Amino acid sequence: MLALLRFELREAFDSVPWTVYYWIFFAFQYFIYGQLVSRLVVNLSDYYTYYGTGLLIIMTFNISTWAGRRFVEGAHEGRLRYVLSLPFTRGELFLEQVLLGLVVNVVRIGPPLVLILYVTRLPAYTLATSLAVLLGMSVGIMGIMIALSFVAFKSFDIYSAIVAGMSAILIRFSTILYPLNFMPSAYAAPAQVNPLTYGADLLRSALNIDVSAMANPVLSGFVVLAVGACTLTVGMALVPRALEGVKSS
Amino acid sequence: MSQTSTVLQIARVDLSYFFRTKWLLATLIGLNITDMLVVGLVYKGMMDFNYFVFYAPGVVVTGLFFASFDVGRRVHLGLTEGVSQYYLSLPVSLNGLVLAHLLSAGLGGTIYAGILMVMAAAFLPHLASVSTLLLLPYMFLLSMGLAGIAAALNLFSKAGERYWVFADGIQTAMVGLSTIAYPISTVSSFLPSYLVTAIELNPLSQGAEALRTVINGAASSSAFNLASLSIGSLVLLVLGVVSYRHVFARLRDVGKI
Repeated sequence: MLALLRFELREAFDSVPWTVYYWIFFAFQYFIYGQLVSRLVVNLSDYYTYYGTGLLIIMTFNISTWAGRRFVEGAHEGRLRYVLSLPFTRGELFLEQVLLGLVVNVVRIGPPLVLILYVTRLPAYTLATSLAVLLGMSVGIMGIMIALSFVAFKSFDIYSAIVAGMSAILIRFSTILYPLNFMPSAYAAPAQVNPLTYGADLLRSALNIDVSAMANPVLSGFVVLAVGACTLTVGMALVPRALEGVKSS
Repeated sequence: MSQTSTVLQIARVDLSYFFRTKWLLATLIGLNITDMLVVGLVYKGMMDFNYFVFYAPGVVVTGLFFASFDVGRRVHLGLTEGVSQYYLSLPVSLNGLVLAHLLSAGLGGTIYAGILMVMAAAFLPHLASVSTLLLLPYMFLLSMGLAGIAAALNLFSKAGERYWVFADGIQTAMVGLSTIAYPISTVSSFLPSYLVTAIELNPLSQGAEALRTVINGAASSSAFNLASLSIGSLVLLVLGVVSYRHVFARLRDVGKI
């Protein structure tokens, strides 16, 4: 399993343009878009810091989605058949995919996180806590994306549509870009049952960002852990069955 | 079959690729609508002006941009999967093939933006007006022009995954350096003057400002200039023609780009 992980990591980082692109994307969004939008926001103090942390979560979400998509693309390209012939269980394969996603996540969001901590002059120990929160969230999201692969084995278009739709709903109906108390009640209700809301609020608690209507950090921590554990368990149970009879296109 | 009808056939087939994945298309439209109705409305409560009215035209133009830019993805896949080689074997000139792709990009962007405009008009009644209809030809020209950027990308990225990185980067930069999400007054108080000029001249800014003048009246936008929109789109369209001519000529002569 570790040999496969090493091989896939080498392959993932072969693609230097994507890793560099993620950093440039962050710098652009943080230093230009974030600066400009935060000048327009007058009813929330220091929206710039709020936006920066939201951007980190969006990046974590995108990278986790990438990990899921990569898994199903591997199946469609016939690579999965070979991997399944290797001497380890399918549950271990699922774990290997999650580990791959986590390492890629650390490399891609690590530098932006350090930059935010530097710009906002936060103490160094917050790096460890915030990274732990982001990786905890990442496990949950990757678990969902990989577990959804059973849809992709039927139709890749429907999988893409579900992932795009889920991204839109989960990111917009959450506190990633705006606090709960600014949302109309129709939007606040779904946001309160959205795990990303708790992840975003937990990250802001870890960074000591003062936001008036933030979810309780203990509850947020519990939700992030529970989602991660549940999706891992469901994924490990579901993926081995979903892999049966999968065809490459 | 005449040259014109072959060009129209290729344009129709290319356009049908864009609308083929209905699930994905419905989701993308849903994504733009939630951008308008969720992000626009929530930010409205955090700002001291009606951000929803400001942002909705920006979302329409973003949709137009992404839809017209999709021609680059189709050509990129066509080049790697041999579809472009097949097109070159048809009785159609190089210019005809280029025109067919740019035409399908223009139509794709306009149709997609039209769908978004109909949705937005439910909340912004001023959009359902003769002025919007008069703007449609300019939106079509803008859509064809924006496809020119995708064509240049096809030329420079060649094969491999570089295309996707460049495409994502250019889309982010074009949207970020425009007045889609923030007014020009905010931009000019933060960025250096040469960037402000570039943002004003960005065809996406011009498209968004054009729709804003339909909703709020001609005096509402200091940045809007119909001539600038047309000239900017035409310049990009010429870039697209030159790029695709080069791509397809090289493919015909050498077998690859």
